[in-house]
Amino acid sequence: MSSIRRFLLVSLLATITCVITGAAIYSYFDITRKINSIFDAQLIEAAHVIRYTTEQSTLPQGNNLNELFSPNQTYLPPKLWDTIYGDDLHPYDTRRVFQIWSDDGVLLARTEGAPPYPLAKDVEGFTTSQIGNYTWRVYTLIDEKNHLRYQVAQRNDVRAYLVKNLALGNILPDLLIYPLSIIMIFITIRAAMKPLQRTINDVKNRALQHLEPINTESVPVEIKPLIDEINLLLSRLEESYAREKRFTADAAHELRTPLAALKTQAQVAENAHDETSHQIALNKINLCVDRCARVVTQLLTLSNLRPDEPLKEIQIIDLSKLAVEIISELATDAVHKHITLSFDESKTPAITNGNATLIQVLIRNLIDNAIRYTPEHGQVIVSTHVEKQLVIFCVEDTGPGVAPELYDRIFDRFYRELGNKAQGSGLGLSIVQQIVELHGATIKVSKPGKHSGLKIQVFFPNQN
Amino acid sequence: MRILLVEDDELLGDGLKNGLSQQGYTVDWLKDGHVAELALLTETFDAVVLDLGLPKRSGLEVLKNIRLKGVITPVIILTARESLDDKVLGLDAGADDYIAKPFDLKELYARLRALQRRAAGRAEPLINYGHITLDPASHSVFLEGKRINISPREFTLLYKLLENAGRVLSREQLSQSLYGWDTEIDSNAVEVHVHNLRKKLGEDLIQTIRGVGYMIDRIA
Repeated sequence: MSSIRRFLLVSLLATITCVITGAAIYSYFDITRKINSIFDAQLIEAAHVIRYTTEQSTLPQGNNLNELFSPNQTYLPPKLWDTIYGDDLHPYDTRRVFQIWSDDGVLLARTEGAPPYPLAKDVEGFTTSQIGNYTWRVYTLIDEKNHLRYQVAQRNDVRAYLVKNLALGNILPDLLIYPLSIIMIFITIRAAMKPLQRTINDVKNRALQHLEPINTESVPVEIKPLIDEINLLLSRLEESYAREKRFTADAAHELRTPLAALKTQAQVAENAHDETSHQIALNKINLCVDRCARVVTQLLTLSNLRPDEPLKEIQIIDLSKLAVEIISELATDAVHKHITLSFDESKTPAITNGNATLIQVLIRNLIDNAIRYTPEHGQVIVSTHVEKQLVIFCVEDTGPGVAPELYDRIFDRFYRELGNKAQGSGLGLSIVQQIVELHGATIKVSKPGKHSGLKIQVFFPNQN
Repeated sequence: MRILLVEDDELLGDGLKNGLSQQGYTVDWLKDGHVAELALLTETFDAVVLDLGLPKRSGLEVLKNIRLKGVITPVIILTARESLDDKVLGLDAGADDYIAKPFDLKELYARLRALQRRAAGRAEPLINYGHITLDPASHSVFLEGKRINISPREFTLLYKLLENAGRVLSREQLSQSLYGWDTEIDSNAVEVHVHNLRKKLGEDLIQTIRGVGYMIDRIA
């Protein structure tokens, strides 16, 4: 799993490490180079100062240098050395040494620490020479006028030591910045993650059934689209949750009355004094059980019809053929009620696309409803029609009908025409409507032209 | 005891009517609220079993209307929903008790007996009158501790008279109590039952108030 925090930490730490290391290395070498050239310049400067001082301290008095420096006196008088460098005990003492040679190769003077033989070859400028265990950086100045050679030198190891001290001292702040930056990175990332953490806590601490949207006020802009999507999902979830809850409540409610009837009839049968009333009550128990079973079947059908899921197993359907099949199934019910059940088939085939099982349920529910709500000796007329763009399935009855203002309500779940004696589940038309919607069809309720009753038409798209 | 049953569901109504009849109640069954209201305003019932989900006029409306018009008949409501609201609304609209579907008939009988007891201003489940004891729960009558063989109609008549001891009940009131609208009433039926009761329990128990009706006197 990817972690923004870890990614930021690793990448920022890597960047900071590279940058600081690079900067430190660069400044180390840069400073080394610069200090070396400063030291070199100091060597040149020292040579000239020595030359000048030697000239000034000797020549005005008309002294010969040979007098100033007796051949035995190999060391420069401390006084002169002090005038040049003072009391040089500074920690960054560069520990230079020098020699003064005459033209003819006599060592006129040297400082302590300088060897009694030439530090380098008699060539003006910088040279590096190995004397004993040490490498020396030597600057030679040739004074043609006074016939003198000045050689100023510095041991490379001393110089390197100083360079190292200076350079390291210079990159120390860089190295101190490093831990500070790391701490800052940790703090910054933590602060940046805080609103995220707050949102996480908000989501984490909510109760299971708590589907209110997540507060987006304190949410960072970057994750707001995500939270918005989640909120959308939550609201849809809440909607469907509420629908399920309502459905369950309605279903339970709808089963209560048939169950109460069942229990009552059972107790009547139990306490019946004579065989006839006992038998009658038992028959009614059967009716009650049939009714409960019908409600349960319809509930299952309805719960399987998900309005948000696309239709499956679509095939070509002949509405007339299905109507005939179902009419033959329901014919006995009609005959028992002395209802004339008839079918008018369309001249051209009534073909549409759909799920055969669902269309069967639709046709059965519509015809069954019509038979159920039509009084004895009534009529139920089933028909199919084909128009240009539409295939129409129609069921008409001669029952009591429904008031026009209630046309919409008959599709509500568990709606039943008040005072109706028929034992419906109140779900049939609700199921019909869902099937209609799933097929992209439309349904129309009206009063038949010639007589009282109800006319329901379902308009399917023509697939011919 | 005459009960008005208001229930639109065929199978449940039928079961309730038969069940209550088995218990010796006289049951008149109506299926819509409007007619039920009219019946309650014009006739006398000992109790009402009222479903709330009724066509034409809801049970709650019926309740409110009859209470407004001063009908004090005890009413027990049948609710399909477990929710508190229905019960509270029902009771506040004037119901005396409720029972949630599905229910046990025995519970309904017991609740009806309790309602009648309260309506008659009694706390005791048994009715004692001199040497006579009447047990509404078991439908039995005892004279000096011995059980008397008594028909359901006779029982109902005695129960009604004992509950209204001290008051004269008209022959019409008594016959309505004994028979609903379904049965063809023999004009002498009440007299026959009174005669039988006198034979079983003593001639001077039930007094005839000529031209008015019958009564059992309050015990002095």
